Amino acid sequence: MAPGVKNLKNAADRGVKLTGGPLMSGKRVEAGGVLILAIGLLVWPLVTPEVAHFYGSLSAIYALIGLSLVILVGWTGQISLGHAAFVGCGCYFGAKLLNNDVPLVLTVVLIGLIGAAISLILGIPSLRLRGVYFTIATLAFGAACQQYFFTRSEVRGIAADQVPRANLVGIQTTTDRGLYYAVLVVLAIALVLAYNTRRTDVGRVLFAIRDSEQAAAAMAIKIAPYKIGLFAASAALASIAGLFYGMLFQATPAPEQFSVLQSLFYLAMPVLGGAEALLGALVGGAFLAVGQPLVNLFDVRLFLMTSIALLLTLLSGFDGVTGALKAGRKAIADAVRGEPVRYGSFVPHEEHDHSPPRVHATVGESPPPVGSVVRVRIVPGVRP
Amino acid sequence: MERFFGYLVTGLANGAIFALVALGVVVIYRVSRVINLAQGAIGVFSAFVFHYTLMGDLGMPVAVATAGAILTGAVLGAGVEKFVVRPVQTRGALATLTATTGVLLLLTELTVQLWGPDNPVIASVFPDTLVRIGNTGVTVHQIGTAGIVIVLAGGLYWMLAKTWVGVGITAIAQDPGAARIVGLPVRSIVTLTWAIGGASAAVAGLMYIHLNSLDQISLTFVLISSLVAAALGGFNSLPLAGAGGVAVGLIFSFGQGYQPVAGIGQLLVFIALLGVLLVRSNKPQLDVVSEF
Repeated sequence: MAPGVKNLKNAADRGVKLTGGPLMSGKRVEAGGVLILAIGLLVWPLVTPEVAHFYGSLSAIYALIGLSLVILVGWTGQISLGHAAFVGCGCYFGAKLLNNDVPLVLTVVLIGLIGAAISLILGIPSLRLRGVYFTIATLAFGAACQQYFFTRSEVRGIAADQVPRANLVGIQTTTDRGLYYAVLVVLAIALVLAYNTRRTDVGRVLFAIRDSEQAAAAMAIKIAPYKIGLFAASAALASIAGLFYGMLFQATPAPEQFSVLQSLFYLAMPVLGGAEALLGALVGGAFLAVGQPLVNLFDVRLFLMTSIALLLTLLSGFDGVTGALKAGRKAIADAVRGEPVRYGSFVPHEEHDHSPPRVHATVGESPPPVGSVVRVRIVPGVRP
Repeated sequence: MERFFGYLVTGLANGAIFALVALGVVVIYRVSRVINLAQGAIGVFSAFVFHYTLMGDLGMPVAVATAGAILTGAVLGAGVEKFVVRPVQTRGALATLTATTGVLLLLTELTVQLWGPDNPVIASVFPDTLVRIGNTGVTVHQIGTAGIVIVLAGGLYWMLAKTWVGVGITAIAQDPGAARIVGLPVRSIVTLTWAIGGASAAVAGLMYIHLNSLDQISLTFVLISSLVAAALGGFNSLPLAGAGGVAVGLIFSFGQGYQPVAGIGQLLVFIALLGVLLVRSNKPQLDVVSEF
């Protein structure tokens, strides 16, 4: 509390600027938005024709892939150019499990474990190094999968394997609508898990690593296990998405469906949707899924339009659609209540004194020469 | 033994091309700290411009068209730097890397959108006449490729070590801020470096597509091979990147030759990369700029 402030009402009388208030509270706006979104996602298939359900399922599957990339890109600051290979692994191995009458719930778990296990092969050597090595390793892995593993008949089957649509604990997936709900359940679980992880110690460590590996290392955080672990989680999600991808098409698609270019295409999801917010994955997934029927109208290639959209988003300076929305909301809030005081990236809490920092002392007559060191001792305490 | 020499020649010719792309990646990385993932795509796009526009539509002779394609590559490289990388670079390494992947996807898709999915065999300045050395034959194109790469690599090395621009590039690599303070035209030098990178990619694209059929898969393979080669030297060392390129070419050629299974080359290169990464992980200071 600012000096002399007894309660919040009092603060306003004394001219202390307050942020927040019920209208501007970001938490409530967010919670309301998520609730409306959730209801919308549950209800829309009931009122739309059959055709839309296919694209609904596809965007839910893409959103799952998008989420796997959002946590990788947004939380560790690494980009993977081989995620389509994990989707392919999930698709091909999932088909084998389902054809051997493994229940779908168990298959989802097993495929997640398989994807995570495969990710360790390239995660362990490459994520211990800083820099771009991880990206190159994923690229090489993607090419090796596409060209070598996925063309083996033991992996894909002689031609396309049939993929049965099993029930997910009571949810019939024989229709596209049922499959949509099944994927939505998995997606919701993944979103909740990811949201909670962000607020735990693990999440905070991950953000510390993303912001500065050196600083995190200086705080005695072992960096590599966190990055490898998160990559494994990301690969698990992508593989599970691949399982549903196969179920949607009811067959195992050709290896070209899991090519390196496809990985680049997937990378557009965290960029278009925004890598800072988890919901960016949903936005990105929906974009890519409805992109195909849209571009067919104009006779251009989907990947071409996607790459243009990706570059424009990067050049715009916003963190995708969710980032633009957030910036818009902040601009409106700032216009209504005045811009809050910021200390670098820190915004002081709502009930604190927001008057700008004052100069308490100047050292010497002129500014000190560049490179000189000024030692300052900050004495904490309250001046009555 | 005859097969051995055959694979050796193919491997060296392809390896020289990977080395050339890798050299471009390393030089660009040194001055602007960006791994240009679009390097291979620039080469391929220039090769398509060469085949369809310069030779097809405009009917230029091969030599003129080759010069035109190299110019296209240089313009593309400089354009990528000026209009994509520089505006995005302030937002950090992640955004920049993503932007170059965006350019990679854009250029690849643009070739298909403009000229269709055919995989043409393109002309070369060098004839395909066979020169017999012992029991194996080498085409003049292959010799020319190796020669061009050696000349270009030597020229690049000379430029970096002996000329004013090279000293400027080294200065920028070590400390961009200090380089600007002493009055170096940092922006022009960076753009020039990207142009050089683009031109070398164009040369590599012309040579590679003449040797191999071109499709999107082989494009990504060129990219991966050259990145693996550049990674061997930690993106800092030109000689290591060059040697890495030749090594990857040989691995690919021998693997494909003695074990003719689809995709074996990609598998071997992936395994080779994992090996490189394990070796590199013993070296602590990866980001330090060393001498060329």
